[in-house]
Amino acid sequence: MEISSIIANVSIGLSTALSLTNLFYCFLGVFLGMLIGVVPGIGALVAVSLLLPVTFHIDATAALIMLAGIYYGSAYGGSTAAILLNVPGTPSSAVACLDGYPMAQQGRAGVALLMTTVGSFIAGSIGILLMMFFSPILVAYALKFGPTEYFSLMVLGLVAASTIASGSPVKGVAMVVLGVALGLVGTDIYTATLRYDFGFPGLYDGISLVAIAMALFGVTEVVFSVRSVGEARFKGQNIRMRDMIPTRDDVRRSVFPILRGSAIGSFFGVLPGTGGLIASFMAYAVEKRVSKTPQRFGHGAIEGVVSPESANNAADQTAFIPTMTLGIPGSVVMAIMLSVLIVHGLVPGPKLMVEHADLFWGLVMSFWIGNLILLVLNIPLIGLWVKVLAVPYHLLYPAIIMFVCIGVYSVHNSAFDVWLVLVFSVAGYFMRVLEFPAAPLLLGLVLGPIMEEEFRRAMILSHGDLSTFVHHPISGTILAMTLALLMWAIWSGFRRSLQRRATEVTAS
Amino acid sequence: MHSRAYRDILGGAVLTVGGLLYGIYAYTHYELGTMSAMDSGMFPMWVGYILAGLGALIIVMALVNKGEYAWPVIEWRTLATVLASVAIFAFCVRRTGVIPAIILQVIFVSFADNKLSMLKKVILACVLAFLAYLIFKVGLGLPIHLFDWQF
Amino acid sequence: MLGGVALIAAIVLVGQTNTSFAQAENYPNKPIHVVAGDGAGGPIDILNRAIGEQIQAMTGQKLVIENMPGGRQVPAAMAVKDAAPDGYTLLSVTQNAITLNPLLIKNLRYQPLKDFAPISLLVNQQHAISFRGPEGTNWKNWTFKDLVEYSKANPGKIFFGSIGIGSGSHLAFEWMKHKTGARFTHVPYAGSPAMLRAFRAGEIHLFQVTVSKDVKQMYDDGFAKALAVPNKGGNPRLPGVPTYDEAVAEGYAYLPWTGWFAPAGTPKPILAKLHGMVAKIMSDPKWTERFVVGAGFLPVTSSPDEFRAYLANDAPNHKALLAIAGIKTN
Repeated sequence: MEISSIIANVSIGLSTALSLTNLFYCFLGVFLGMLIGVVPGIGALVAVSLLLPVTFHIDATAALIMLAGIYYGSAYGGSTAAILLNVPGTPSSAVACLDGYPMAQQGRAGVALLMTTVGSFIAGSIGILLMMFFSPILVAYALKFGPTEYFSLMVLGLVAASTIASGSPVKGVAMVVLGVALGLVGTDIYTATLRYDFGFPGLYDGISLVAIAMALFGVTEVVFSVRSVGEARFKGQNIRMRDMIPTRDDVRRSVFPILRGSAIGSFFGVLPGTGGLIASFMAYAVEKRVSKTPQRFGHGAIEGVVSPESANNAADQTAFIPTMTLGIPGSVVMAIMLSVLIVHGLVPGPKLMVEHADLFWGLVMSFWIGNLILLVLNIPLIGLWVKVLAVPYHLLYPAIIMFVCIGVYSVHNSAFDVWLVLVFSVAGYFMRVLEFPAAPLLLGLVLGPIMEEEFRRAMILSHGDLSTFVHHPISGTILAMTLALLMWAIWSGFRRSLQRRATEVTAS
Repeated sequence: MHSRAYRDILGGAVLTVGGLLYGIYAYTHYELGTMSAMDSGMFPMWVGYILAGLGALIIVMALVNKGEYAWPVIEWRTLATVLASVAIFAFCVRRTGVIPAIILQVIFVSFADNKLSMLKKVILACVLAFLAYLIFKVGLGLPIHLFDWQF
Repeated sequence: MLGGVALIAAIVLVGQTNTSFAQAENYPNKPIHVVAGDGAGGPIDILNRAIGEQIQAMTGQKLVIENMPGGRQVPAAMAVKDAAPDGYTLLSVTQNAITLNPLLIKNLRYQPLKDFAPISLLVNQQHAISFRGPEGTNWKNWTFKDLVEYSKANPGKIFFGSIGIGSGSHLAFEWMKHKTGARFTHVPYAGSPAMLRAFRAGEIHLFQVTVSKDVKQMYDDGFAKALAVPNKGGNPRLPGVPTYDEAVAEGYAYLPWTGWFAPAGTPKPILAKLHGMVAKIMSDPKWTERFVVGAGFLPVTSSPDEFRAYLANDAPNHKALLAIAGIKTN
């Protein structure tokens, strides 16, 4: 695209997005989204669907601006509860618990919140730039990802996940596979067979991701903390403004993770059906891999917070690319955006950018304004959020349990999902007691259905020829990367145990 | 203190048994199909077996690596209290409505550490129920039943 | 003695009808809850929300949509089955809950026509067979017959997508294969977005799709072509496209629908009143263009009795199609 036309489009977009009405809806959206993101259990979907009828009556641009604001606003809020309480506000911010909560325990919650906010803003901006300049190219590449590519990518994710947990990689992989197994519960789309449903209609569509996330992180954390945390839970409870300011070291450590996280997030956002959760796990795995000090991860490494959250936010922005330019929504929330377009008589697709330039560019520019609002809104709020830590735990944990329950219930109006929370809280508690990591399980739950679906689809399309995974160049490359990663993990594990043995020998 | 990682052995055993059961259940209950037309049992069967294999590997590694391991403390009382409170909510939410469900749940769960007097428990429960009312009913306008009686 | 019983019964009956008429008179006097077997933002959900606004304008009472998505609409049906039959709890589901589930699910915990009183059909889906041929063929000029010939000459080359076994999008092709001997290979998807992606990427060549605006655009752009439409008398949005009767063979009778139900025992006057409101809403062309036709539906309403008759006919139709597709039924 020519520079002049881009400038023209940006100015159309800005004048649309900066109109008083649209600014109002943008503010409303991001503010609501952020608050909803903070509350454990309920996510953007609930808020978006509740405001849906409102959108029938307002202008399409304003409607989309507001719904989009809720969507990416909730990603900002999701990490807040994760960092402060070890309870992810949304499942995709579960990764932020891993290092965010240890940071909070060290009295660095303010720093973690500030850096994720800044990282989210940068990542959001990168996602927006990609949407502005490269939508057609990105869409073309997204279409190159067929069943073989998706499957290979999920295998890579599975292997990468083994490094997420701080314990043994085998336990990490085992937990992903357990997640995959749980992810296969429900209706098999290929044969309509109900699998492992044991007669519960609540399992026909699989185990609710929100219920598992809230059980494994929220409830388990409460059971662990109720008795173990005394009055002085965290160091430096009286957090001052000074404690929010990141050190030079924090900033230095965060720059590249934010950029890498944005890249990974942008990549997964464009692929329909993947998205923020997978992106955030991958970003974490990459950071741990490239870090010179991987042993810091899980103990409050700032890279482990900013990178996944950046990925999460970038993915939320680039998810609009296939939705708006192809009419292919990557998630339920995106599908709602599409139906809003259609209710207003607009047709998503390549022509939308041209024929409704004011809408498309207005929306894109509103993303930026929304991200800016979130940045400005969040920084003063950090001081307030951190105060949550000063609330005595015996008042806080009943609230956490209540929010988890009502949040999970309200997603599908399903009491069954609350019973699932109970079952998986037991599992989560004993997993933690036995030191089996919960985060990989969550990833497996998301990867599992995709892996099976795409594997079987690839088999149908290739008439049962397994070499199809190697013959497709992108898929082959990904598998080669996976293999290299695997070999390296095995080798480094082997070397570690050799070293340990050597030291044991010298010690004795 | 134990000389072996009993946590890993126990966890590995659960995964091995669970994985085997999962895989065998798939084998006995669902069709396997062929490679070009895989049926509903094939993928879960292998996932189950792989899980069992990984569980076994964890056991083996735990047996090989000797070291000092502490036996974990399990907070049975806290666990039971918290779980029971979740159960109360799940049981009540569609029968008595959300508000009574929350009040009962909060009062019950605050027995986990029992730091509040009964009066304070009730006050906390009412405050939280009101908060939930404000957020979910007033703020979000969710179609939840505040009070109900369906037994 | 018998006479006494009859008398009491008659009194009770008359009394009941009287109160139910009285109930209907000032119905609705509080918000009506509609349990939708669809997630928020889904097609059934949007339809119900839009209807809700019209009903609120007519009666002053809100229509509260409770989403109970998934579970093949079993959770939604179960939630309404035991609700008070007073017209304040309704169920909005598709053929899946009413016609297909009894055929496919063993030990289904409700009996559709016994536990629910039909109120009205709301919409039928407007379908079309979307087709984009393999590279290197002049598929743009093909008719359905040409496609069948090609698939016979090149077995395993033509793939069709569906959104799951037993869905209309699957059964239509099984029926076509059965009638014409075409050799299409089935590739199921978890939902229409994934299927649309695959179609865009050229992985599948055929799929049956609701003709919403973006799909129509795809035809207008020449990316794909509509080979046939199932509707009797053609699809008004796609003039010139032959019907299944014309292009494939006669006798295809599967039209996915969405309807309203009440718990069994809901007074008839209330059912009639609800149907009347729906019929009135659906007769406004401006409203239907925006909320029904634009999303790829056709507005169809039917009185409670017509709807019941329609459903009685629906089950054997589905059963026959499932048999053709080789799916085991109860």
